[in-house]
Amino acid sequence: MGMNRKAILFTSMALMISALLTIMFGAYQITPVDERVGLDTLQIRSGNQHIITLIAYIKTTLSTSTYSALQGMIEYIWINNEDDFFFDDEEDIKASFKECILYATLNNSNDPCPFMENQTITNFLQRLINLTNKELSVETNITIIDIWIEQQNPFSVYTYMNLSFFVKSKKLFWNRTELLRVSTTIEGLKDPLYFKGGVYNSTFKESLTKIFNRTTFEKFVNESEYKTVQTVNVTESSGGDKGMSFFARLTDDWDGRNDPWIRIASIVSPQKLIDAGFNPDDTYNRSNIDYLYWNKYEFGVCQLFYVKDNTNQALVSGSQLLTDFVNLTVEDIDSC
Amino acid sequence: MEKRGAYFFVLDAIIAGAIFIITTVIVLGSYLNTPTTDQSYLLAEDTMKFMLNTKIKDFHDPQVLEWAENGDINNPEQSIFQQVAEFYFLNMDSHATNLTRIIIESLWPQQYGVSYSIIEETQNQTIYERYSERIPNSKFLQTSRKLTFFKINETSYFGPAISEVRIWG
Repeated sequence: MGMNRKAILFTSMALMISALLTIMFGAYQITPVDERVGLDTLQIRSGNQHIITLIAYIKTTLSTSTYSALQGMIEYIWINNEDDFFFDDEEDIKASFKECILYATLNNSNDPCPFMENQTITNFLQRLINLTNKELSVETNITIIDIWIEQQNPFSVYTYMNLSFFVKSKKLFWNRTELLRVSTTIEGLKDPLYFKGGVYNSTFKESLTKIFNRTTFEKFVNESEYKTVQTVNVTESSGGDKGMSFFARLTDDWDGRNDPWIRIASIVSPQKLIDAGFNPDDTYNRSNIDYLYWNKYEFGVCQLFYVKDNTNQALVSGSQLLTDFVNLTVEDIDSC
Repeated sequence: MEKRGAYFFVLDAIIAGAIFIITTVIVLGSYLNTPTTDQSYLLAEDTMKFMLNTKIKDFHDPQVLEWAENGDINNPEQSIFQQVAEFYFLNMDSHATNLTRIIIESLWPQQYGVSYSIIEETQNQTIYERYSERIPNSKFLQTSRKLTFFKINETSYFGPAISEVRIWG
């Protein structure tokens, strides 16, 4: 009897242990919390990366739209050239730029801003919103609070855009306000100052030459390059000889705010004047420095010089040749 | 009497042994519930990350070197991801397909099906795909998508578009 009880006991224990083992390995395996957290962390990282890409896209489109808007504003000057139209001042430039880049219009919606069809920043952002909502199942809302332009460098402008955006996916959302700044080159844009001459056009192209000699000076003239201009006193004129920044060229105002580090100048090529139908002899006492030339500033007899042995024979004041085109010596230049 | 005791002990041992063997067979033969979802999501994301973070110049392949010498690749500093998008934008479809195939075959063994597509506002284009016929029978299908764009010049850019990697098996 005692042995039977033991047998029953041991058999029962064996059955219990077997059942326990079967339940442990046969039951549904619950994913431990640690593994779930790893997946959520990955999704959050992926979401953050999406936001970074979103901001990069907005910056790229802002730069593209800025360049198109500047092209449009310059074309607008050309279209209204017969009326001697230029923008009034820097405030007018900023207001017009904002209208052009947001709405593709100018002059308080009275005129279209050229080249801006489907190129507004508003259009670019809407395309992004439509695509992400549809293909990524991410609800995106972007609101532009303000947008403006400034010039702090001679051959580029800064566009600032203050915006708020709200991005929401299944589990995550971001609600942010950002102030973005992008730099956009002005190279390749037409110089509106040259519209005063009519048919002779010039596009901004920064010269890579740092130190000029006869050869590089000739290249500078023939290829219509631009460079920053040092402060130089040429004559007693009210405007002086300061160079004109990009913004100053949009307003045709060489007396306006013209910070020294953003003033630029080019040399009007005598050969290109001839090709455009000008007679250079008619302007023999006018410096070929562009802002002096197009604003018809005249010098006294033999106050202008040219670089010897250069085929272009562009006339420039002696002090400018020696100051702005470093390494040219007095022996390199000649007058009359 | 003693023989009866021995009989019961032996019988007990046999029953215990049988229970042990049966339990072992059940445990070893049961299906292990391995969580595959996390792993495959990681892999789809990893593929995309690899393409985003690896520069063309860092991916050594004879075909890629040939394209660089021909001038078909003119910016070796850009990522594989951008290069595929550029090929696609320039209508160099065979280049886009071949580059994607080279990358995917270097990352994924043959038992997995993979596809890479670019989704634009008005059209979808499958750049590369393999073993799509296995999708109905696959145990998992995961997708990773990324916003795609790149600047062409001062007044135009490609995008916005979505690049998509799908993996199944």
